[in-house]
Amino acid sequence: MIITATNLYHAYGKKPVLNGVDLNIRRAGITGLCAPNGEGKTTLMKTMAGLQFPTGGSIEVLGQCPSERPLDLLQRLYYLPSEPYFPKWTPRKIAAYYGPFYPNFNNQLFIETLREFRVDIDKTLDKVSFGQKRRAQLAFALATRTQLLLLDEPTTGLDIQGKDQFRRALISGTEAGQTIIIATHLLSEIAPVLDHVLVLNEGKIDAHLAIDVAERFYSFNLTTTALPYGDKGYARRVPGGWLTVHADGRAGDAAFDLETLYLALTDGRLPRPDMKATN
Amino acid sequence: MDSLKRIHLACRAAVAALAPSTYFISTGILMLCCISIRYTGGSEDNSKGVLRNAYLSLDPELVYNLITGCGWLAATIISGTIVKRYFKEENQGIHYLAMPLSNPERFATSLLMNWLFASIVSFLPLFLICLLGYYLSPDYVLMVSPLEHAEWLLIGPLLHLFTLSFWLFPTVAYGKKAGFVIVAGIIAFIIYLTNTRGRMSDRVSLKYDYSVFDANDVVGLHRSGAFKKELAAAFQIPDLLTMQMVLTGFAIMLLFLVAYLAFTRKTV
Repeated sequence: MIITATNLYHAYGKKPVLNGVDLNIRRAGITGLCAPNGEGKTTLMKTMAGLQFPTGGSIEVLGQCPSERPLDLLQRLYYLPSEPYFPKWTPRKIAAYYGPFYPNFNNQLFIETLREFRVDIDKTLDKVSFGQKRRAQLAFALATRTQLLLLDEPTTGLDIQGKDQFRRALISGTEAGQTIIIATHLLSEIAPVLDHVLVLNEGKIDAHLAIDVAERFYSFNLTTTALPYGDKGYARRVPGGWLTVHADGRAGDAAFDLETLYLALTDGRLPRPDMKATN
Repeated sequence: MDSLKRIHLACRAAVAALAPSTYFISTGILMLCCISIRYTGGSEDNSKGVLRNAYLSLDPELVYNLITGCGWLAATIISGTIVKRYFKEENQGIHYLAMPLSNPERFATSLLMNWLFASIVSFLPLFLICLLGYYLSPDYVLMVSPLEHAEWLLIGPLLHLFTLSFWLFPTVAYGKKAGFVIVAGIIAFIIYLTNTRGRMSDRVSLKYDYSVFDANDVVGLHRSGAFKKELAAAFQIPDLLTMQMVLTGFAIMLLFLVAYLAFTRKTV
């Protein structure tokens, strides 16, 4: 078991952000974590990383309690926040000073990823663009080769080439046995590489779907008219008509679209496949 | 990798992340103090001071107080800077104490950085300046060799360790709860000062004693007629005391900053 959370609860003051999260991630792969703004994506990730302690409930990551911050867990986990603090050093110096903390840190991979990302390894990070800085941070995160990689909005600031390189790096990470959880609003940018998607809504895990199961369970159709009254599907206005989503086993003629499915689950309240069976 | 190696790596990373100005904080504070108490600028009547080639006697206790006070303040600022960065990184999950370390290793690193490193960087330059001043100063500057009072090097860091234990470790370990204790401690200290130092007069009453002052045959007192007229002798609070109060006020502000950091932590 990689992550197990039971009735996880966290509040800022009196405002609960996580309100009974139940979660099981059993297998390695790439999981997308989606939620509306302020619904607790970052809080959940920090709780997994042991940087924030839950107010109630329990969470186990790689078989250990993250809030105790055991060394063994910290060496097997890397969390890249959306706005990380990085010293104004060159990537080479950063790797030299912070890489040794991670037993599996691969300096060769770090250099190669930077080269692929077109980041100068000897240029200090205060003299490069935001996108370049983000690429250097991602390269470091990927080079740690930790068993669990938590990435918060990793594609922010990346250009099209950068996103493509990032996706390829993610695939090579999962091939090396990494479990990667990505919190993002931009599902379409990482959809091609996702194995699972987690939907966090109103402080709870609203849906936890394996992508291959979801592709079989939901059908997408492009129509020229909105759904008739009484139809239990979800329709999203798209150029040229409506993209509909149904969970009733009907045939589909349109491609699987993760963002539309996310809307269908959160706004349309479409039924979910058996979550226990899919994970 | 063993624990010592990880502690070494953490300290190395923390030292590398410090700004170069860190190494000059204590020297800067000492210079400011010297200027403000006019060691270099001369006395009020402009007859003394290093810059005026006039006779100057540096009392050992004064030098001791300066080294301890300036060093302690510098060490507190450095520790505050380190802990501020720690909280920042803790929230953002990168580097230094957020890196993979066991809790004892994290504590050891914190102790080494905030106490040993901060003390060395704060007190050693002051000691060396005094030593240099002793050997290079002209004859009209009278001061004792700092080597004769090498225990200053230990007293300052111990004082820093004492105050550090009051605010740093509880803040890291207990977060918000420590914030309440720190604020309560500061308030108690202010109340104590108000009830003690605040009531202190800058004039001291000397008891008029006829048996002494009327004795004209006592050597040294036969021309002290003024003593009979004055019921109280003037007692000037030294500049250093004022400086100490300013430094104390500044330190309290730093502690409030630390308490704020403790309160705004999200982990506890």
